[in-house]
Amino acid sequence: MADFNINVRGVGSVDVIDLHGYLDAHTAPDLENAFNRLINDGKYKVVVNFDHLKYISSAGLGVFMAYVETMRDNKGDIKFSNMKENVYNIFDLLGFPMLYEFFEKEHEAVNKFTD
Amino acid sequence: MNYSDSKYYREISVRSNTENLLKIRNFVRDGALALGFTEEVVGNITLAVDEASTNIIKHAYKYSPEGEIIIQTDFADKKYIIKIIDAGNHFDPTSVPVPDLKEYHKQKKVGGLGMFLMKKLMDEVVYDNPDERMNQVTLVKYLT
Amino acid sequence: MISYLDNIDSAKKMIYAFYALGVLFVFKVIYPAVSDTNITLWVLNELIVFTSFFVLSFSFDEYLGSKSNYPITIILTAGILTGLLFVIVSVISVIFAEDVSYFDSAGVISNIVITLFSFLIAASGIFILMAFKGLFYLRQKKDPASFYYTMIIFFILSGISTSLKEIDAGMNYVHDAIFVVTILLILVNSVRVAWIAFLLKKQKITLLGISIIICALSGITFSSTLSGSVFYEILFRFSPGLTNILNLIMIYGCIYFGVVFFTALFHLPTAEAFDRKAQEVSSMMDLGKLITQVFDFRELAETITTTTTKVSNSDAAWLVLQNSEALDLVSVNGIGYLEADALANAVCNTENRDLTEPVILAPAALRNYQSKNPNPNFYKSLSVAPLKVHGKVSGYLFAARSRDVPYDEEDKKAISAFADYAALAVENAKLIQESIEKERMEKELDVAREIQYKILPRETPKCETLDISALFIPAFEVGGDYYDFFCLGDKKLGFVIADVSGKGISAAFVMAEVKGIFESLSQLNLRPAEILRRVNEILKKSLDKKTFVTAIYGIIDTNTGILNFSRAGHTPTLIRQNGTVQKLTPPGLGLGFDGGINFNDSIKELEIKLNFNDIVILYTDGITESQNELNEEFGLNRLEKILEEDNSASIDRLSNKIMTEVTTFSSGKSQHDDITLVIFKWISKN
Repeated sequence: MADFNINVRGVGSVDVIDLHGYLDAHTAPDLENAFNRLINDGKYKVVVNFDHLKYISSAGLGVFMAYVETMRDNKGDIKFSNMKENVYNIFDLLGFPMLYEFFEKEHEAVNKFTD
Repeated sequence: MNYSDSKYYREISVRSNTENLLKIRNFVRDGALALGFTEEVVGNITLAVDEASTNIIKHAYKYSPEGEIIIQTDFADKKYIIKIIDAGNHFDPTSVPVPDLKEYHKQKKVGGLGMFLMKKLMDEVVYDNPDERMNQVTLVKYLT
Repeated sequence: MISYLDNIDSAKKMIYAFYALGVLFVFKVIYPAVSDTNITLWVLNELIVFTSFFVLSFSFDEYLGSKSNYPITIILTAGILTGLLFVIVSVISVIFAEDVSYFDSAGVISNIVITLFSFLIAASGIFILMAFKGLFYLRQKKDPASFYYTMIIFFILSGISTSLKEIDAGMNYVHDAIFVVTILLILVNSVRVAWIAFLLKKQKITLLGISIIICALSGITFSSTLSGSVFYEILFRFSPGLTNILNLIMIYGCIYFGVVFFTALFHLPTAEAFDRKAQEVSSMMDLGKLITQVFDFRELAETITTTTTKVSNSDAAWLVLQNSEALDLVSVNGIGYLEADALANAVCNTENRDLTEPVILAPAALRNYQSKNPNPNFYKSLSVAPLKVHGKVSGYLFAARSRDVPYDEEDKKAISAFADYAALAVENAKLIQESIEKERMEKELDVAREIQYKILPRETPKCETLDISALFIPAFEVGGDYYDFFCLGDKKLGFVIADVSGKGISAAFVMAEVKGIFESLSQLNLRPAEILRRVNEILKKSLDKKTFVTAIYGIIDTNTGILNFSRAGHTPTLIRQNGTVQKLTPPGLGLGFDGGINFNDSIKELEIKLNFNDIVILYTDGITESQNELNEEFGLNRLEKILEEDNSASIDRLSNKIMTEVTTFSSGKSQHDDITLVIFKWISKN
C-alpha cells in the first residue's frame, strides 16, 4: 500500500523498523505482521524509526502496547527514535514516555541495546 | 442549526471500511485548513475524527464494510463542528473506561484509547442519537 | 539367587561380576581349552563360564535398565556391539586364517590373548541379549517375563545340550529338540515389537536403518561362527555351550531385527498421524495440569493459542470471549490483534450461522470475510470451535492456515478439544475470581462492623426524669443503622436515630459521615427541623444518587418534659400516653436526595408534652420489616399492640419483650437488616 510502508533492517543485534507514511487502523495490521515475523525469528530488540512517519492514530500506538511485553519478556524492548513533534505529542498524551524510551537519533536507541 | 444554509457546510459519506479512513482524514483536513486552523490543530482534529470513525467501524459495524459513515462539518461562532453519524449498533460511551496505560500495557488491551484521545484533542465531544437508528458523535474545536 | 542378585546395589553387582570373571580367567589360563578327554574338566569349565557370565549379565541389565525408556539408545548400543562383534569375528578370521592346529601348540601368551578375545565376544553377546531384553519389555502391557525367561532358559539348555552332544553322540536328538523349541521361542518373542508404534517418525526412520544393519551383521556373524570356521574353533575351546548360546543370540538378533525392520517400514506411512496424536495427547496433559496450577487466565489463554497453532499445524490461532455484547480478544498467536479481532468479528457477526458446534470454513467462504478486512495476509482455511460451559457458548477458539491444506475432521476435533480446555479455564478463572470477591466482601464486612461498633454510643445517658433504653442488634451484612445522644446543656438532651440505605462498607462509611454531621450540628442548639435541613444540605452534596438516609432528630427538655422532634423519611414514632398508643409522623423527606427546595419545605416539627409514665419508641425498619417464613412482615401494628398491652416495670423489660416477639415471629429466617430500638419513658411526676 502506497500510504504506508514498513522496512525492517538489522543493525548488529538490533532490528530497526522504518515506518513510512500513515499508520492508522487500516495499516496497523501490517505493523503487527512485521512484529510477528520478528518474534518468530527470535528477534526481540527493536528500534522503531519514525523519521518518515507522517501520521499515527491510536490503532498504531496499540500495536506497540501489544508487543512490548513479549519483547521485554525475552530480554528485548521496543525503543523509539526520530519522532517528529506532532507524532510524539500523541504518544505523550497517552502516557507512553513513562513506559517507553524515546531517542533523538536511531543510533542512540541502537546503542542503548548494546551497552 | 440548518446546515444547508451555512456557506461552510460540507458533507461526505463513505462505507465503513478502514480503507476509507484516509479519505475521511483528507476531507476533514482540507476543511480545517481552509478555516485557518494551525497545522498542529488541524492534525489534532484529523486524528480525533479518525478515532471516531475507527470506533464506528469496529464497534458500531463490527468490521462489516456495508455500513455507512456520514461526516458533516460546519463552522459557526468560531467553532468548527464535525458530526460523525452511523447507523450501526448503539454504542454506550460511558461503558468505555478512561484508560490507565499501565493497566492496558499489562493486559495487552488496546481499546478505549481513541475516545480518550478525542476528549483530549477536541474542545467538546458529545454522543447522542438523533433518531432511533442513528448514532452521532459531535466534535467541536474552537478557532482561537 | 536371581532375586538376591536383583536386590543388591549396582556397585556390588559389578564386584561380583569382576570376581567371577577373575576366577574364569585364572581357570582359563591354566586349562585353556576344553577337550573330550577329560569330562570333569569339561563340566567344570562350562560351570564356571556359565556362572560368571550369568553374574555379568546382571550388571549389564542394571546399566540398560536405566535407559529402558529410550528404545533408540538401546538399539544404538546393541547395534554398535553387533558391529564390534562382527569386526572381532572378521579380524580373528583374517589373523588366524584356517590354521586351527596353531592353537593346540600355543603358549601361555596366546592362551591369554585367545581367552581375552573370547571374553570380549561372549560379553558383547550377553550385552546384546540384555539389550534385546530391554526392548522386549518396552510397552508390554501383559507381563512378558515368562516368555522371555523361558527363551533364556532354553538358550542355556541348548548350550548345555551342546556339551552333552559332544561328550555322548547319543544325546544328539536332545540337542536338536531343544534347538527347535528355542528357535520357536525366538520367533514368538520376535513379534513383540509394539513399542515401534510409539516412536516418532524421525525415530522410526532411524530405526529402519539401524535394524537392517543389525539384522545383516547378526546374520553374517552367525554364518561365520558356524562349526568349521576359525572363529568357531576358538570359541569352542573357550566353552562349547557358550558358543551355542552366542549362535542363538545371533539368530535371535537376525530374526528380531528383521521383524523390527518390516514393522517399522509398515508403520512409516502412519507415523506422521501418530506423531500428531502423540503431541496432541501430551499437550492436552500439559494443559490439564496448567489449568489447575495457573490462576492467571491470560497466561493460560496464551498457552492454549500457542499449543493450538502447533498441534493443529496452523499458522495462527486466537481466542475470543463472548461478552454481553462484544467479542473480547484474549490472546493471539501468529496473528496481529487487529487482524484477529477483525476476523473473529467478521466470522461471528456477519455470518448468521450457528456457531455452537465446531466449524471449518473453506477458502471460498473465507474470501468473503477477508476481502473486507484490512488484512494483507490471506488465510485459506479457518476453524472455529466454541468454548462451551454448561451448554452455553462463552467464547471461540480460532485457528487459521495460510497454506493450501484445508482443515480436516481430525483437526477440527483437536481444535475443539483445545476449546474445551479453554472453556474449562475460563470457568475456573471465573470461579477463582468469585472466591476472591467473596473473601474481599467478608473482609469488608469485618471493617464495616468495626466502624459501626465504634460509632454507636457505648452507654445511654442517665437522667432523673427520663428513663432511656437503647438496643442495637447488627445484621450479618452491616445495615447502616445509627443512633446517638447529645448533651446540649441547659438540661436538654438531643437524640438521633438514622438508617442509611444500602449495606456493607459503603453504608458504614455514610454512617460515620452522618455521625460527624449530627455531632457538630447538634452543638449549635438549632431547632430539630433546621438541623435536619442542614444535614440534608451536606449529605446531598456528598451522597451518590442511590444512597439516602432516613432519620429522626429530637430534643427533650429534661426539666419540663417537652419533646420537640422532626422526621426525615424515618419510620413513625410511637408514643403511649394514658394507655393510648399514637403514631407520630411529622412530614419530611429522606435526607440526601438532590433538590433541596422540596426537602426544606417538607420538613415539619412536632412538639409533645410528656407526662408521667409516657413512653416514646423510636426504631428502625429492621423491626417492622423483619419477616417470618411466609415472608409476612412484623409490621407496625404488632409493635403498637405490644406497647398498648405493656405493663412492664421498666423500659428495658419492654425492650426485651419487643425483641422476643420479633425473634419469635421471624424464627427460621435470618436477620436481614440491623435492628435499633430506642425507648424513652418520662418518670417525673411534675
